[in-house]
Amino acid sequence: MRIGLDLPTDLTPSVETAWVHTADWLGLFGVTIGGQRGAECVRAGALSTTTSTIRLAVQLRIGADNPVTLAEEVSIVDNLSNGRVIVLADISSLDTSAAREDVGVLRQALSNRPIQHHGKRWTIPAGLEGHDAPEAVIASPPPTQIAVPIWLVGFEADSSWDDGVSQVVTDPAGIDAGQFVQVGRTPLTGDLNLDRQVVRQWAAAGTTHLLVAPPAAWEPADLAIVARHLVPEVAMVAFPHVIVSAPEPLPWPTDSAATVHR
Amino acid sequence: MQFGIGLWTLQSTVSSPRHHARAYRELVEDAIKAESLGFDSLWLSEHHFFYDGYCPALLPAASAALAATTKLRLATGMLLAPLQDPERITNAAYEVGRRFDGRLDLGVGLGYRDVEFDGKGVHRKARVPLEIALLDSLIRYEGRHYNVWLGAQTEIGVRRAGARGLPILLSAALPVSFVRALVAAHETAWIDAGRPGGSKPRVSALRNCWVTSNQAEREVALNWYRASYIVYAGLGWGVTAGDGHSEMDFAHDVEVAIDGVAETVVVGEPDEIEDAMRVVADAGVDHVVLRIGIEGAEQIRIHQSMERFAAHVVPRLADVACAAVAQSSLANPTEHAS
Repeated sequence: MRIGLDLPTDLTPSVETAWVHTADWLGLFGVTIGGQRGAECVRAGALSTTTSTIRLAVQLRIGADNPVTLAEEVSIVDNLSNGRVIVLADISSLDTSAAREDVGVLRQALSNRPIQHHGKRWTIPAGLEGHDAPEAVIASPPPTQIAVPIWLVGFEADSSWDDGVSQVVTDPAGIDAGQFVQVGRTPLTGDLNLDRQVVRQWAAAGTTHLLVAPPAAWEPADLAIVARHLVPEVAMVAFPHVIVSAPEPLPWPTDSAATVHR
Repeated sequence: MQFGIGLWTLQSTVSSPRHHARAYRELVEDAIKAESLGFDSLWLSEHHFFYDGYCPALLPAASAALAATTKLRLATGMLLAPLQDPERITNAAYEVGRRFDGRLDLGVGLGYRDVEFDGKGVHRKARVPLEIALLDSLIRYEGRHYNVWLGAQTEIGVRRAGARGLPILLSAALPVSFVRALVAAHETAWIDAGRPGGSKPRVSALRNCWVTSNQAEREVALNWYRASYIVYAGLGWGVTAGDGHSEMDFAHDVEVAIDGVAETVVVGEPDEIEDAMRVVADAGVDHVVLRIGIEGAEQIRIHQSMERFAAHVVPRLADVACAAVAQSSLANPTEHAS
């Protein structure tokens, strides 16, 4: 099971950047990025430049915006980050039927296929009178990834979303170990033994990707606890704690590079 | 006089095919290069649903380039107003502005492609009121940290900008004689409206110019400039007839239109470029955006031309006065929504 970072959406840019850079450096699989409507992909765009491997799980509120517009922004960030975007689609403002339509259009736009959609909420292209326009459009550029993962949040329990869309659950009981990707979301307590139990429980349920929210008292440097203790805990069966109970090696002196090259 | 570079469109064209991810990586590299050479801004451009991935979402791209720089301004030339949700784009602009010390210039335009209006469910007839609504949203946003510009190439358009105290960006396809007329119309409208904002709003102009002493490169650069306008045949762009120039209809008569634009292109030695810049300054332009991101020309070539311009042209123009200073407009915007 891989562990990623679940951040609040109202962080100031400098605080958010510190968390994301630390998580990237420590090798966490992903980090959630949210914000005000319209700010999400701007924030992700900025962080795409200053990170190298971490996945950018962009939380988008589905419903208020044309899904093609959202797909275009997501694709730009995916190209900026060389294929590291995940869409966290917040469908909490929509009923199931509306959510299916919007997420469906979003997926179609991200697929780089022609879009010719006539639904209850959207008609794309609109076919407005007087326009000299084709009967379909293709959202471009395509994302870098083969398929941008779409993970649903804010949904009511519904098992009939297809394989292309995963649901982020907040209870290990909601994990379906038969599915290829299963995503969980949980807060950490800050108590190491408790948090070890939490991640083991999620892993045992069949979770593949767990987003953990840091305790309120943590600073970005405390993510080292996740990297040192929690990631290994679920990276093998029966992780031997002797590995982490030994003291950490000393930090390198700041002028060690000069010493090496003398 | 100050200088920016543009237009970065992030395309993968038939002449310069590349992975889309490389286009975005090179954007960040080019921004870093531009800043190191002293250019004040890098301008992006927007279109939708085109074969080559022409950038449809400018602010995430701008954000990435801003994250890699510390002084360079990122600008939109132009953000297509009718296609934007005002709340969404205003929140995005606010986020960019607050993250990056206000280093965002939002150039806003009407757009012209039916496929884009139709793809976003917007009627072409509504584009002017939609642009006005967006301008109001952008300008009235409390605590904003960005400047707002208008893109225009007609007298009506520049008058609309002047009356609101908005700075303008003019197309590179316009001959200098028409630029002069538009500058005058912009200023007159500003004065007639009671000088909104207090200071005369800035006039920036895209200009096609390439610095080289190499004859072979001169011919190639001219050829690439011509090629860079063929895309507008596919996009359906045009320039209406104006003072001193005939209509340029790229969609229906591309060769004639390109011949018209070719007259505006200056390729040559630093002194030739200097002369061209002085003519533009004399027309009332106080900021030039060098149109050198042409048809996805090789990055190394673009960088070389940038280096030559910075080293051999800019110092020659130190005596050319700049009518309005961009940095001051952050604290005291010259815009005024009427």
